[in-house]
Amino acid sequence: MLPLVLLAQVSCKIYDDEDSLQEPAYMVVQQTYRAYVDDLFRMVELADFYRSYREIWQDREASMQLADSYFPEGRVSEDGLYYEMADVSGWGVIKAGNDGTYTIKSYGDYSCYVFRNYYGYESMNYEVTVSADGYFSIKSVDPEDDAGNDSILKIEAKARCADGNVIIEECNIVSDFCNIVSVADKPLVRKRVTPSGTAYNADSGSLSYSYSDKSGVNDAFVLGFHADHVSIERGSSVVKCLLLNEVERSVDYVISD
Amino acid sequence: MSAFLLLCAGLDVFAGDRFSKGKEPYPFDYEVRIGWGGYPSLDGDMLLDGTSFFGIVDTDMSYDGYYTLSNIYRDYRGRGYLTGIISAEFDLNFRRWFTLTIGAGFSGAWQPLYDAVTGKKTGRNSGFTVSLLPEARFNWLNRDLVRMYSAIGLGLTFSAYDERDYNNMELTLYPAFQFTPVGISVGRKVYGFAEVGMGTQFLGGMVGMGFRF
Repeated sequence: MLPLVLLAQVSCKIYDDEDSLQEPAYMVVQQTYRAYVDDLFRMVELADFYRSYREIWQDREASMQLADSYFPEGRVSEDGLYYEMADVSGWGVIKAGNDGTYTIKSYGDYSCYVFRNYYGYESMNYEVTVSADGYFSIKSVDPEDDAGNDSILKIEAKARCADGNVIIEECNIVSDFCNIVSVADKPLVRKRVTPSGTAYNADSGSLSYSYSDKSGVNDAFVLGFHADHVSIERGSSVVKCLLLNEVERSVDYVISD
Repeated sequence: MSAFLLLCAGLDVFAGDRFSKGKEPYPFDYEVRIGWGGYPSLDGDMLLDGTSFFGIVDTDMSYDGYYTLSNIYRDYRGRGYLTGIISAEFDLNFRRWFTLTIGAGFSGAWQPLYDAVTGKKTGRNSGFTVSLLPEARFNWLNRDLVRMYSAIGLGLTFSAYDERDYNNMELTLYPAFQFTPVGISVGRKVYGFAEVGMGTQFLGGMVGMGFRF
């Protein structure tokens, strides 16, 4: 009997490792940032360019020089620029309304499955108002998608361009399952697009997330943007992760100190 | 010449075992033995990895989509543990060279679960396999104290694994197969044995003890 007991002790140490998910919120912020926050930065850039373009639109050469100084090569063509509208590939189509507002249909991206409950290409419609002091107020209008999804998604933001940056000072993204709100004293700051290309990650600022769904999952945290990483902060618990565009899905996205 | 003599010696051993002593019945009609074997590779793949191999009866695991919150925040699995195969046999010695075994094997498996956010342990998945495996054993060396054999068996295995992270009970029934290319038992009435094997029960070796009567 004793040999069998000893053998049983030995036998228990047969392992089979499993991968572990180290920070589930990272996957959520990756999706929402790609689908909505990155889009907001682009809409501000598009509106900022269009406002400047409309002041010189009759000078075609100057207009194209302005476009080439704003966006990477090939994004704007001469037959995509009119007084009433401008088409910037990868950003969207912007039109001027009669009341001084702009409407934008973004080029869009694949939706955030978590908050839209489907995965498909989604193009957003926005209304943009420009204030006298240069602030852009952006509001989403009836998103279009390729699945006829009727779930709620509302985006509102207030932003400006300054010193080569796009600064989102207020942000509110609301869906059936989730609220994403900018942290008041930490506006999102990202380098504005240049002919060299566009930045992806914000350089600084924070977004407050809270979400829950019918399965009972709920979470709340602050997503912090830093020069070389993002942080998921729940009270005193802070998880450092790779920048959002550095990895699609990997168990190594958490940075260990 | 020396090679020829060696060949004759080998044949004499074999022939002597089968023919000159083959007419004498084996002194023991029955045996019981218990053993432990590892590594139960199929159990590891099926229970801990969640893959279904020869499943005949399987409960459905509800799939709610990879990118849903419930999937993203699902408890994650830690290291898996297996007990190895614990087997018990009843053997019938029909001839010196042939034994029919009726064996039952048991193997346990478990895996801790951890909260995806806090990393704290939340519970565990656990389960077992039970197999019924009759085998034909061919005893090609029969000495007073030493027996060597090969065996082949075909049977059935039933497994049950409680996947708490998916709120699912995985039940599977599948054929069991085991091949033992070589085994050895040492002893007369009470003996120890060791064998190498490959099959659905285990891949590797088994050791144990038995009693002949």
